[in-house]
Amino acid sequence: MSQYIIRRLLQMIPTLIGISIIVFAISQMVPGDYITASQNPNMTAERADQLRAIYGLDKPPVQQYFIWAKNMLTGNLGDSFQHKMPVTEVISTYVWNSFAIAIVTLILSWTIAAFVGVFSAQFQYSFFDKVVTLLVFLLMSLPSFFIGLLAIKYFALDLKLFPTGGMTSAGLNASGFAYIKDVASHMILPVSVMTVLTIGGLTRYFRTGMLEVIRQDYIRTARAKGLKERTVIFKHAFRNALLPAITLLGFELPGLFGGAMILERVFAWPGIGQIYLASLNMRDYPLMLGFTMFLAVLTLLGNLLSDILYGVADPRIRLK
Amino acid sequence: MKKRLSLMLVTLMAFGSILAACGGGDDTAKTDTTTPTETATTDNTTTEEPAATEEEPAAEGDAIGLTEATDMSANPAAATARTDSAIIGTTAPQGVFNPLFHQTSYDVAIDGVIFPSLIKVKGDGTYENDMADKIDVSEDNKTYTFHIRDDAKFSDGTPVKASDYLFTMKLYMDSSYDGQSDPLSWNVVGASEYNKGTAKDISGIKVVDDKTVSVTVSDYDAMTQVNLGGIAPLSEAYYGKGYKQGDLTSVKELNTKPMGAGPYTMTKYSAGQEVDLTANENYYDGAAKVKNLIFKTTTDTTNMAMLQSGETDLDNITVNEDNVEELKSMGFLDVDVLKNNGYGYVAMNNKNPLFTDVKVRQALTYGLNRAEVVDAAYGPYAEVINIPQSDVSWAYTADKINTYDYDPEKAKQLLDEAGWKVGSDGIREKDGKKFEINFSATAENPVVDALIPIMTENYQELGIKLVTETLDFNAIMEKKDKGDYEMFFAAWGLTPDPDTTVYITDGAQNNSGYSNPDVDKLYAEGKKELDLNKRKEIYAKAYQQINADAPEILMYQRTNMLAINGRLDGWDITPYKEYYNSLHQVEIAQ
Repeated sequence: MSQYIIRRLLQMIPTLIGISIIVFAISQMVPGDYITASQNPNMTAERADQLRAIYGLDKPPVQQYFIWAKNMLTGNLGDSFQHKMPVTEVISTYVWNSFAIAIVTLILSWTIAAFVGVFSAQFQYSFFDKVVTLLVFLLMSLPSFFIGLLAIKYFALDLKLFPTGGMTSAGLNASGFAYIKDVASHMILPVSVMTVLTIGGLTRYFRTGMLEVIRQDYIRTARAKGLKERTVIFKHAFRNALLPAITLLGFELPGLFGGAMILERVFAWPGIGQIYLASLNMRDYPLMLGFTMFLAVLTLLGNLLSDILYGVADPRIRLK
Repeated sequence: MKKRLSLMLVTLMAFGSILAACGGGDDTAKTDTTTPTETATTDNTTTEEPAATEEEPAAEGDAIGLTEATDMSANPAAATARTDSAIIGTTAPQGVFNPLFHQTSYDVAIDGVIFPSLIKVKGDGTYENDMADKIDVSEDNKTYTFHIRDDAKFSDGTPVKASDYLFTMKLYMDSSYDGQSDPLSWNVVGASEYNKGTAKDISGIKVVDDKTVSVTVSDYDAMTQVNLGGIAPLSEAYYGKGYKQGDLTSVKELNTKPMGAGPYTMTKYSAGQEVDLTANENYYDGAAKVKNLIFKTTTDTTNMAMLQSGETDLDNITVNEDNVEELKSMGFLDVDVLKNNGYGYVAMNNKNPLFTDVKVRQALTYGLNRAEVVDAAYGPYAEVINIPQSDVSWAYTADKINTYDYDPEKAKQLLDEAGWKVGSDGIREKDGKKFEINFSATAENPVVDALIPIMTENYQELGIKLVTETLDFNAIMEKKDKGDYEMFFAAWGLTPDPDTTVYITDGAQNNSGYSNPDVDKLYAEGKKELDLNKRKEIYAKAYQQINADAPEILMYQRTNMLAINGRLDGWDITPYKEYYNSLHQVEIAQ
């Protein structure tokens, strides 16, 4: 097992090199750079040249790539042009805010989707199943900013149940439990909207997985030997139905840190998604490339994680 | 990646206009973006002669200006409960709280209450003393002596000294300085030696005594005093600890912990969430009346809601009829619709054979129903313009300016004169070449969306075929730099001073390739002249010439909107003087 993990980790190195080359090449092909994107009307040609020299943008692309790659190996992602601070610092400032809502959403949506999926599979074509299916497709097809705005309108403005946006109340100097409580109240709306949006797809996964398992012979055997229906479903069927979903769980890893560009905007949540988007718009290459590589590493690790989890959950699969 | 890209597209589609890069630079920054995002400004001053009065003068009168709150009893409890604090809604600042490095107008606003400069902008776009109580200019206009106020102190209680000014200048002239200013263009004697590292000091800056500093420049112009006086001295004791010539890292590390001499001191910065400030007891103009000031992050989706619920006291809101109506209906908000310092224009490549003839350019201006386009894009909240200057600027003139009212017959006549004859298929041609214009359009821009259908129809009537291609704004700018374009739409921001390189031959911002030696000469004269009245005349002549040459189709000057909770009084806001310039004198009226 550990041999397998080590081998997989080693395999990641050429993959990452490949990704870094592609990502860097694409960034080079995009028209404009930070100097042109900042649209400073007082910028003279001389000043633009000075700035390009300070940022190293005047060097040939191949040389720029190697400087960037070399720095990255030493853990230095460079300084963000926009934020004038190290990229790692920018990422760590914002990424945990995104992580906070993403992890709560993940737990909530997986729990709810598992139960709803199982029940709608167990009572396939029942009224409950039909209502769930309808709801699931309805929620899946709604655009996130629309539900977000609607939620603000009803729950924050009309009913005044939750704050309209942001992560903390302005001017609140609380710490400890009071702080957590404040953040939690701000989190409810964005987390609910995100959960509602992701739950749809997941429910379908669980339902399909469950339906397949329920038809297996060993389930019939379990029922035949007189086991309680609950034991049959949750002990015998559910574990097997989870297998395909486990693969999915590994892929959620980059999503936990990637931020939600649209909803962060709608709810004024100080997450990394908006910062990443701004770095694309502003051609802030160190931040844009650094964060893209960060996500690439997470994606690869997520892949590895889902393979390992699969092996753990299903003894039939041997990882070598 | 694919998912991310599509997400991006959706986001862009949904929020296209606000996501555009906000290029504010210095306080005097101008922006050139398809969707201009300069900060809002107010228009309390009486405007000079309105530009183009033909377009719905009545509607304009109602639309632009301040509408006071009508019903303060509707003020939500959340707002009235804040008896010693005000909350400003803002797009998230980037955390660059240092006047040397800040870039977005949101960081500029916060720095505006922390770092005062030696001079400050007045409501009419001219300047007056701020932290300096006297400025002496030598006979030859090359030496500027600044006398810093005796009572000017940093928030830590230490006095602002002449040596702090020198220190700040050194930071600007440092070879690793990568902020938005162009300090070497100020021509300070000895600056480039310091920049190259061949000198340890800037020979042109002399510390006369603790509070007096003199700066010598090798060449002066009208902007010299503004550039030199616009500097906010940083405390050498605070910022200079780790500074070595050629490395500003230690200075940048303090970007999130600013320390200045202004009316407010920063107490807390939570990235992306809020910036908390408290009144600085040492401020030389007297401690600010609102004790606590909070800049809270809002987005265009939450800013109206937060004003309504009383969570914020002030915010910039996109100007359109729906928003204005909704804000006014809340009753407890002062709604200020202010002229924006900038203008939108359709650029024509003056070097392209299609547009070299001035008659063709004039015809294209006459032949486009600009009033209709502007009305479709902004309703009553923008006006058609005919010179590239804000009508609230001291340099503005309406004298001897052709208004190019929509006149297709005149346009046709001009095209005939220019030798473009209508061909058999109804398209004009000259020397066997069809008159076909390739328009590079940006997607999801309200002006472009309004412009293209009207322009296509208007020009078809003239016998000109308009072909549009949709491109990313940066791609259009790249085509522009190569001179490989025919037409595109963009907008300029305007500095309080009319000096610009947009219309001078090969100027850094000359997008259209326009060149007229007379205009070059006038701009050079205007820049060198220090007398305001003489400058007025010079710029009037330049604008008249540009107006006649029609190097681009000038479109509109639009507006911005500030909504301010009526409980806050004492503002002094004009298109040049931002809301944060008068925050220190604002009071809470309960």
